[in-house]
Amino acid sequence: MDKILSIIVFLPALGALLLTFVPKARKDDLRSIGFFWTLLIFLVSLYLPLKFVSNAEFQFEEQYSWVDSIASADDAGAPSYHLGLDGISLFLVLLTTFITPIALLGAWKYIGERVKEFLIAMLVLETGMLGALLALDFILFYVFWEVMLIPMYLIIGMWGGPRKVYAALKFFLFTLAGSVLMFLAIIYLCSTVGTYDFALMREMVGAGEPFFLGPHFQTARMFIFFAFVLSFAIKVPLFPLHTWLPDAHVEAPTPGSVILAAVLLKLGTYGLLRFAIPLFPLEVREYGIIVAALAVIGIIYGALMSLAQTDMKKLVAYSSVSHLGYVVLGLFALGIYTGASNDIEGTVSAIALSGSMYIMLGHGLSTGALFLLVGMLYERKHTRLMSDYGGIAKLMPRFTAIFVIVTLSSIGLPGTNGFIGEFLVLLGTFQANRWLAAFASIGVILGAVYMLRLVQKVFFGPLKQETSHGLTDVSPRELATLFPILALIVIMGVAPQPFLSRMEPALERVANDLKRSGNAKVNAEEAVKPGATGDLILNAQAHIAPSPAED
Amino acid sequence: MNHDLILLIPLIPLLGFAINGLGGKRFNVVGSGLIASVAVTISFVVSVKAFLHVRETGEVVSSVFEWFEVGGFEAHFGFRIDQLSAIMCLVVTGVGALIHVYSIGYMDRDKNPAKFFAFLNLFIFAMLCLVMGDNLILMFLGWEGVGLCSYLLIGFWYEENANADAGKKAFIVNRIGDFGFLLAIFLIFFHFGTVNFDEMKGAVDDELENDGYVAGAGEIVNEGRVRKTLFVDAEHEAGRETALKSIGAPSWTWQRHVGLGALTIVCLLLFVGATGKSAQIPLYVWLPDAMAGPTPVSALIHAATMVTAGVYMIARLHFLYDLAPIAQSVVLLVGAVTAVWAGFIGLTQFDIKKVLAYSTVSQLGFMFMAMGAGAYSAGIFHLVTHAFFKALLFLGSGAVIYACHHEQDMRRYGGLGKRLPMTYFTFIIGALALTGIAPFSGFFSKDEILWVSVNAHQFLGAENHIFGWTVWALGALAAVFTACYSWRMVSMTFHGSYRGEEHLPLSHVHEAPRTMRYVLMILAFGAATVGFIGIPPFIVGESGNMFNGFLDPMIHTAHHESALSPWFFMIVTLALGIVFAFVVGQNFVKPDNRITNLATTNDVVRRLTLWSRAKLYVDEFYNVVIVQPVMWGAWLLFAVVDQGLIDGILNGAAKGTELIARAMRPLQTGELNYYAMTIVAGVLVILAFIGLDDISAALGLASASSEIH
Amino acid sequence: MADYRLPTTDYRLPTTDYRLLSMISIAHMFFTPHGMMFLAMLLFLTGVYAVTVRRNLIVVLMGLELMLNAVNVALVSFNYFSSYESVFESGQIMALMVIAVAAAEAAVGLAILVVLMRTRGSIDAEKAQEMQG
Repeated sequence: MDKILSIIVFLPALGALLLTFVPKARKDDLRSIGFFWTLLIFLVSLYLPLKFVSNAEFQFEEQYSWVDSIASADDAGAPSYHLGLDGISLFLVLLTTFITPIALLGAWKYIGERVKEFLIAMLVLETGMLGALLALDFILFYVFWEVMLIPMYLIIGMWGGPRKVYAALKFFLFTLAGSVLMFLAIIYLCSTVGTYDFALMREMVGAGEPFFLGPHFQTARMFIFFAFVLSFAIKVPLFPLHTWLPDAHVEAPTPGSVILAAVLLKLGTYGLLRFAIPLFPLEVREYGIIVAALAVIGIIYGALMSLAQTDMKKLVAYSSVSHLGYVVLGLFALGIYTGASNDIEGTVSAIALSGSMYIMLGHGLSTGALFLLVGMLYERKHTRLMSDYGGIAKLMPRFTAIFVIVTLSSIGLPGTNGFIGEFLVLLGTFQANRWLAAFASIGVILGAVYMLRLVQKVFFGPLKQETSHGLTDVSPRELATLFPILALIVIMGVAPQPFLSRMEPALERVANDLKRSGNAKVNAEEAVKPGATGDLILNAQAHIAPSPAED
Repeated sequence: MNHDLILLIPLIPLLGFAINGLGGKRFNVVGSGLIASVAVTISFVVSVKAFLHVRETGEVVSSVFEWFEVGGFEAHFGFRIDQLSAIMCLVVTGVGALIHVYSIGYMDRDKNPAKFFAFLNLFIFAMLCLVMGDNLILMFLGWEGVGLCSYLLIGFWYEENANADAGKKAFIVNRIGDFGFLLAIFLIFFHFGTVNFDEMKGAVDDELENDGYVAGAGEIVNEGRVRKTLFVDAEHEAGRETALKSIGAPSWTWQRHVGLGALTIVCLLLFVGATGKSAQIPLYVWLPDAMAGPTPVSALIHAATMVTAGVYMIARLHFLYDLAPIAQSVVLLVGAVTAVWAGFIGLTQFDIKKVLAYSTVSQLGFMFMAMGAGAYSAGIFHLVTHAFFKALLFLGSGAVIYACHHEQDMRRYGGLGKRLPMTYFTFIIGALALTGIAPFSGFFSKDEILWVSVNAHQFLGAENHIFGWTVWALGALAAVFTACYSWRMVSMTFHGSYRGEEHLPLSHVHEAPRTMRYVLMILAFGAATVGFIGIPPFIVGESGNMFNGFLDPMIHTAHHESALSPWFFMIVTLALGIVFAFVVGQNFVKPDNRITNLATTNDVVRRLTLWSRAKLYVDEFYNVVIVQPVMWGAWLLFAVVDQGLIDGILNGAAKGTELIARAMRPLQTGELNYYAMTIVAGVLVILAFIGLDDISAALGLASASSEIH
Repeated sequence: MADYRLPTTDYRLPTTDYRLLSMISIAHMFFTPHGMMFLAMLLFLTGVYAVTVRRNLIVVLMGLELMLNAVNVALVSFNYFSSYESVFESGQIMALMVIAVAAAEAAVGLAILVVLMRTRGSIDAEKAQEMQG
């Protein structure tokens, strides 16, 4: 099974290929094949946590040469097909493979036409997401990153609501703008450093490569860092780059929303955690406060926006802005560390980073479930306005119970997954910068306000007579869709340690690298003699020396 | 005893929750009620066993399971039974079990009893987590858990908007408190590096010993020294102090006020949490609304157990409060003011449950007075007695409400004593205990609190002898209010003549079912006698006060000395209680009496009545100052900033692109030859720019051809 | 009787085919880098003329082919005259690529023409202007 990662990445694409042979008209067969195929992928991916060893190294690595000709062109290391998995990507991969069959099952009836095309798009999307999560080569990552974009664009644009074209175009243009920036950054970074390989580049940072830690290249580093941050921030989305999200969510069909919320947004934060933070420790320290401040604004702002919504889906979409603010805040917690003491720094960021990872997973589940639930209501009533509902708990008691449980997870009640993540992020951030954390904690209050307002308006109060028609309680299929999520919500809240201990070594490594860079920066600034930094170069193509003109 | 046995205490109710929650409508009221009651009763039995064990051996029973642990932060499912949590467990499971049994009768006409009992069991579970947790995080789990159950149970009859609104309000107001609690946890972890109670206490004790201080009442401790992890900051502070002194800066810039430090902030933040959960000023507003829930819920959650969580939390963390005199003063003052404030509102309410709700807020104020005065065991003692008599009163009012077919307005009661003799009898006992008439339980506990409050001789960290008297006066005033509203309620409900004939004929009013009556009897017995476990030491001697003696290893009760004899205070409060109870009780037998007449004739009294009845316009104030601005602000922000500004800029950019494109449209003629011509022209232009020479040079043409020729 | 006939083979010396000779010599005149370049340019410009001026789409297509083949001529001749050690004969290979692409292009183009003819009854470029802005 040494090619397990490639198998997992390309199984969905293979599924898409298989689906092309199934006649268009046999919709239920298509759906079954799609669902069971993705379920199979999930089962295959369960091999990963079983064989995963809790350390900070990349595992199940695969590397093949790919486009060597680029190497001969400019003497840089060649882009290679390099896949690998560590504690950071492990659970995101599992989340992806877990949520895709659920999205398909939940959208069984929702997608009524062009079922075949839809399933193919979903499967290609899954390949893109898994590839982006597993790629350790920048060019490969970029390729998968773009592969994700097209199917999502089609899903919103073809199966979406009334303003689908506007939303799809907005989504596409936003993300593409980010991608272009990222591509430029990748080209510049890789050709300067001399490798396209992330793992190698990380080693170089650890060994004190002057491009990353030296006093030169500050301007170049800053541009690359911000290009990365900007492109990932659009995907997250970070305030004020978030406006594509509500539109995309509102217009996207339920499964599209689910995937978008559960996985696609996480790829933004994953990118930050994987690339932007480990590679640019000095920039994280220097400019981290900007990103963290935007994240805190996003937390409060997203919550207030949710409070102002009348459309359920839009409300949930804005709540994502708020929740992902926590994630970004946790990621940059160390960057805003103001204390002088060095020994709690590692603690700070390990806690905050674990919290961020945990919110990524928790938000994927709870918001995915919320979109599914809203979608189920929409299928029954064909409206998403809260004011069109009211008191439906009477007709749909089980549905209400499920919705309330998911709500509780979303507002971070202890005992659910939401609490662990939110708590750890705020705890870690507080150790670094108490005012930002205190401000961010207001989101805890507002979160309860907007979610309970939603529950109250939709489920409680007197039953509106004209709305009661057609509102049946959850069907067995819907229950089967939701039950795994509910189970995970509780399990991850009560027994988080199996998850945390697997992701912790990788996160601690990021934290320690960041911490070391603080000292490294001091050393580098003291030793400005050109010869002194020379020995630090651990470079695959050592002949690419930093040009002094770059100052 | 096997330590893991104590896990049964919270887990059995959780099991009950699971059975009732999954069983759903398969159980009728008796079935689900029995499951739930038996679960809580088993918990009670185990609690008693654990209590006896702790009492005999003095040993702390604990059992720990892994929860999560990351980067030096640990939070585990660590349950412990010590003296304090043993008492709390007994109250929660004991009173809880009784209320469960009562609910079987009360909820017999409900459509969804299994859901109700499932929530009640879940509540008991969460409450037990709260009191048994050996760390702040597990306590927080319970803290939020009880809040959730409170939300679900207040809104249990969700079909009425008011009920669901009340539940939402309770949850959100509690969340504001939890915000403070959370920040306190962060700060505690920041300074102590742990959230475990024992470890925190150990850290505090270590520091105190190292610095040669001994903890004691009024001992001024430089709490900056308690910091374990942040000596760096302390040094930094010291350096700053020296620097500022040397340049002759004014003293307020460098002088560190004794007591105003990290611990004070921690304690104040924790108290913010407590004001939310325990309904103190300024966050008490949810509790009166919470009466929308079924009456057993009001008795269990909003009187006996959940609302005392804040008091328990301060008792649990008393070793921090001991070192933070400013926070103590704040707690004391807020408690006293709340006691008066809520008592004043309670004077004029007509809804019987509202009266009891404000009474609860007021009594919780008493408990916080004790906490603020550093007399933690007195506060816990009042908590225990209050659990009995307030649960009794609520259940009694529930019996009345049940008998009167869910009529809660006391103006439609009157003379019910003859129709409901058992309820009447037990209610009188509850009222006697609440008013604090000897020898009923409330007498001992309230008396002790008033007495210790006189001895509070520090205000905001400074010696202040008037403060104690002020607080005592406030407490005495609150006690007078208590007597007034209690006996007004008793008289309006049970005495005089029946006033609700046109709504419900008196002949339809029947005594509640047997289960409910028995529960009332048991609680009445408790309310009457439970005070004897805490007879003041000046009567029976140190050893005679069993309650303080039991708690002593956990919370040491300091000796209080005062200028006047404790007998003086005892007799004054007792006399005040009896006189006001008698006068008000006599008057309110009839709807128009001297007191109500006074409210129409005397302008001052009329105005006071108006304000009291309008609940001092606090809800309206919050609505105008907080709720509406937030909602409107959110709308405005959405419309102006999000849709207008941010999206406007982006859509503007898109529009601009479109305009440029529109301007360039005529270039696209659709003629093939024209396009081809343009291409050629383009090529020519490029060629002209680069120059043909350059092209040939770039292609290596020149060198290649020169070699041939 | 055996019929001993002479073989029909003509043993006479061939007469000089001046027409062919002149053609070859003219070709030799071109057979220099500059000549081939000139030839390619001639072909290309002919193609450009056809594409830009003529409205008959068949002629336009032919013009396109001419342009492509002009490039081919250039590629092949550069390869031939180049002293650069080109191991792969890349010019020839490129020419083959171009021929393949040109064939595909011609196929698609002609198919479009056929459809155009069917739907509009004309292959005049002026008759198809729907794409104007």
